[in-house]
Amino acid sequence: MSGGMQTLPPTQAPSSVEYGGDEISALVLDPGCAWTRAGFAGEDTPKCVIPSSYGAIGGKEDSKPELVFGDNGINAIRPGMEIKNPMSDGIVADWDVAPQLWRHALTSRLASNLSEHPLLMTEPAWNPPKNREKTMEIAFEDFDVPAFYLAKSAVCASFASGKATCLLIDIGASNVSVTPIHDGFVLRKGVTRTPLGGDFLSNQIRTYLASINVPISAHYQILSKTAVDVGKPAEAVLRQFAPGQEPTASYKTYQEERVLTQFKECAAQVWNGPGPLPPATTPGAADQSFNFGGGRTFEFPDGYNLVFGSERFRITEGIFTPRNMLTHPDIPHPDPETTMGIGSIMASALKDVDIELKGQILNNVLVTGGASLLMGLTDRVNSELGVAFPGPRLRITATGNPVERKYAGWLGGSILASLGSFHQLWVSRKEYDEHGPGIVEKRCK
Amino acid sequence: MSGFQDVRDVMDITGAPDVTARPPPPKKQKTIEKRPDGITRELYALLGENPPPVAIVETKFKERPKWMGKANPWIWKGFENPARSDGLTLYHWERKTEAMDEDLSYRFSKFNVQVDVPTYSDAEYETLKNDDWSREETDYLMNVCREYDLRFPVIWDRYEFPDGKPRSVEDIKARYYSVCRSLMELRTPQNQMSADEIVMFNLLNFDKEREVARKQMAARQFARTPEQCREEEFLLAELKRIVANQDKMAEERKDLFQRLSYPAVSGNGSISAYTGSQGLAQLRDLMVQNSDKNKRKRSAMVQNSADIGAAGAGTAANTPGGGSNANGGAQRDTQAVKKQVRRLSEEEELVFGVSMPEKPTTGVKLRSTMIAPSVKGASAQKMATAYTQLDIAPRLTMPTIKTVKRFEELQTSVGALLDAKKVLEKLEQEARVLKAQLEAKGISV
Ligand SMILES: Nc1ncnc2c1ncn2[C@@H]1O[C@H](COP(=O)(O)OP(=O)(O)O)[C@@H](O)[C@H]1O
Ligand SMILES: [Mg+2]
Repeated sequence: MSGGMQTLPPTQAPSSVEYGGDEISALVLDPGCAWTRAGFAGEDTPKCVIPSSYGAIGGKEDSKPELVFGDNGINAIRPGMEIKNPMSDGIVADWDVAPQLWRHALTSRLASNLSEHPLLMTEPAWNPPKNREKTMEIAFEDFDVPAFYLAKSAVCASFASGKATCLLIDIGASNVSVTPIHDGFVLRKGVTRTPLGGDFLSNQIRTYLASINVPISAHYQILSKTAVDVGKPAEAVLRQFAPGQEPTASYKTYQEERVLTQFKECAAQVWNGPGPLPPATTPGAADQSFNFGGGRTFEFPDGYNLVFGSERFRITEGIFTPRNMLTHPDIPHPDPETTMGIGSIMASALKDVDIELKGQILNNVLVTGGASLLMGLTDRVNSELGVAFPGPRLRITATGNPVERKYAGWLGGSILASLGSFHQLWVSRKEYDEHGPGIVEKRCK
Repeated sequence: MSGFQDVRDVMDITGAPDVTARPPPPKKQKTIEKRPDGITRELYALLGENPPPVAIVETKFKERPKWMGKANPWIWKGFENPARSDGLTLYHWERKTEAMDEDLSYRFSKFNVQVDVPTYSDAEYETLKNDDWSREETDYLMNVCREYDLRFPVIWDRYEFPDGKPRSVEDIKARYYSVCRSLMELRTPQNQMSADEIVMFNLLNFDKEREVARKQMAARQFARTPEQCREEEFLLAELKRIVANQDKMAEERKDLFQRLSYPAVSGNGSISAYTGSQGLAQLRDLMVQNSDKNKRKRSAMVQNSADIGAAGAGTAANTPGGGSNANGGAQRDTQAVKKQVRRLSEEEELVFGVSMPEKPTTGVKLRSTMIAPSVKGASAQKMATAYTQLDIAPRLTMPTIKTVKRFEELQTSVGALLDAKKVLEKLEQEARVLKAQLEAKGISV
C-alpha cells in the first residue's frame, strides 16, 4: 500500500454506486471447440467470432502446411485443403496451431499490437495444470501481453447472468458440462461432463439420415436447384470438379456440419412428455400413435426435402437417456450403456457440494452454450432436475437472447476484465518473469 | 464548425485546424425546372416533383445545448494500482482536470479488502497443539483460509494436504476456530477482554457436534422423496386441524366448568356467610365477576344475579337489624325497609305474590314473559327437544314466582346437561379416532 486511500473496513459492504467499470482496453478471448470468440472487454458482443476449425493446405513430408483461419479462409473451395480442429473436449489438443488460431482471432480485426492490451482468456474447469501454464506462456512469450488472466469459462458465464453462486449447465459442441459455482469459485469436486454436446447431436442426425438412406448435401456442391415436392428426388445442378481439384473429405464433412447445424436450429426438438418418448414402431416409419405437434419440413441444400415427425425427438433423446441413442456401425458414438445423461451428471455434480449450498445452488440453475438453443431443451432440463431433486425449490434460468446464450462465457469475461476492482488480479509481465508460468495456479483460481 | 471544434477539444488537439484536409461536402444544387409553355400550372403541378399529399412534419434536430467554455478533453493515461505490489501500469481514458497531476490513488484500490486470519509464533503454537492436527497441516489450513477468504465450502473443496486425512467442512471449521480462540485467549486473558472482544471470543466457539447434527438434519430434509414431501404436507394440515379442534374443545370445556362452578363456600359448607345483605352483595359481585370471564354468558348471568339481588333485598328486609349502612347495596336495602309500612313475613310475601325487584320495570307484564331465555338459536331447539324427552311442557301453565324460579333453575341445568352431553360426544369421538390410529399402527389397546 503506497499510502493514499484506505481499504474499506471488512465489515462494510461497498455501496452499489461504488461498483464500476474502468476500461483499460483489455482483450477477451473465449476459445471453444466450435467457435473462438474475441473482443474488447466492456463490449456486449465479441467483435470477432471465427470457427475453431482451420484449413491446412499442402504440407507433404518436408514442407509445413499453410494454415488458413476464419470463415472466409476455411469455407473457400480449395483443392487439397484439410479441415482440422486444434481443440478436443474443450481443451487444446494441438499446441502448434491453437496459438496461431488465437492470434488470428485477436489481430485480424481487433488489435494490431498485442503488447498494448491486457488479455483475459477463458478455460474449461477441467483444464489440466500443464495446459494452463502453457496458455500463460503463450500469452507472455508469444503474444507479449502486458498482463494476463485465465478465468474459468463457467464462472464467466455465471457472471454474465449476474450470479456468483449457481449451477452452470453448458451445452457446447464437444460436451455437456455441469459446474457448481460458489461466490465466483468453481467447486472442483462437482465438475462433471458428458460427451453429449452439439457434435454428438450432429452424429445422431447423421445416423438417422443414414438409416433412411438420405445423403447429406452441402451448399458448396450445388450450383443451382429447383423446388421439388416433399420426398421427391432432388433436381439440382451440381458443381463439377476437375480430377485432382476436388475438395477433401474433411472439407466435405465440415460443410455438412453447417447443414446439420441448420437442421438442429429448425427441425430438431427435445421431447417434453407427457411421459417418456414412446419407442419407434418400425425404423423410419412415421407412427401416428401419439401427437408430436405436427411434422417439420427440412430442405437440404440440393432442394430435397422431407417432413420429420417423431424422428425430431429421437435424435435429441440420447442427450438425456443415452441408452436410447441412435447407433450406426460407421458413425462414432459414445457407449450407450456407460455414458451419463444430463440428468445423471446434474445429480452427481451436486453430490460433493456442502448441504448448505445445495439449496441456493439449485435455486440458481443456468443453462448456456450454443446447443442449449435446441427447441424445448430448457424445459426438459428442468424436469430432469425435478426428478433428480424432488424436494428442494428449483429455479432454472436461460436467457432468451441467443447471442447471450452462445457467447455467455465471453460476455462474462468482458464484464470481469472491465471492472475497476478486477485490475489488481491481472498477472503482470513482471510477475510472470519473476515466478514463471507456475504462477497461474496461484493467481488464477 | 463548433461540433468539429468540440471533437478537437475532447481529443486535446491544438493548433489551427487543417481546413484543406477536410473540404466541406459539396452542397447539393437545387435545380428548379422551368415549366414548359402550353401546360397549365395545375396540370404541371400533378406531374414532376409533386409535393406530398400529406403534410410532412419537418424533422428538426434538438437544439444544440449551449456549453459554457470548451469541451473537456480526455487523455489516455497510465495509472498504478496501490492494491498491487508489482507496479503494473495499466492505461485508461481520464478526464483532464486540474487535480490530474496530483498523485491520486486509484479509486478501486479500496476494494482490496483482506480477511484477518491470525498468524502464530512457534511459542504460541505450543498451546495450539492438537493430536489430530500436525503443525504442518495447521499452517496449511491457515494459508488456505487466507487464500479463499474464509469461504469454507470452497476451502473444503480445494483442501489437499499431502498425505493428510480426509477432512470434513466441520473438521476444518472446528480447527480454524479453535486456533483463533486459543490465540485470542493467549494474547488477552479472558478477564481483560473488552466487551467487543468478549462477544468475538464467544462467537469463535464452534460447536462441532451440533453443527454436524444440524447438517445431517438438513441433508435428510434435502433428500426427501416426493411421497415424503406430500405426506409431510398432509400431516401438517392434519396437525393444524387437530390443534384448532383442541383449542375449541378447551374453550368449550372452560365454558362448561363456568356453568357448573359455584362460588366456594367457606369452611363448614354453611351458607351463613351469605345470609346478611352485605354477604349477599359480595356473593353477587363474585358471581358477576365469574360470569365476566365468559362474555358469552354474561347477559344471562347478570339477569340471574339481579334476581338474586332482588331476592336478597327481600331476605334483608326480613332479617331484623340485618344489613349495615356501610355499603351502597345495603343502603338501598335499608331505604326499602324504611318505605315499608308493614313488614310481611316470607310466607305472606309468597302468599300475596309480593316481590321487591331492584329495578322495577315500568308497565304491566306477564311473569311468563319475564323468564330469561337462557339460550338462543340452535341450542334453544335442542333444549325444546330435551323438554319433550323429559316430558316437561316448554311453557309454564302457572308462572308464579316460585315456579318461574324453579323453571329457570331447570333451564340452567338442562343447558348444563346438554353441554355435558356435547362434550361427552366429542370426547368419545376423539377416543374413537385415537383408538383407530393406534390400531392402524398395530398397537392393541
Ligand atoms: N440453434 C441451435 N440449436 C441447436 N444447436 C445449436 C444451435 N446453434 C448452434 N448449435 C450448436 O452448438 C454448438 C456450438 O456451441 P458453442 O457453445 O458455441 O460451443 P463451444 O463453446 O464448444 O465452441 C455446435 O455444435 C452447434 O451445432
Ligand atoms: Mg463453450
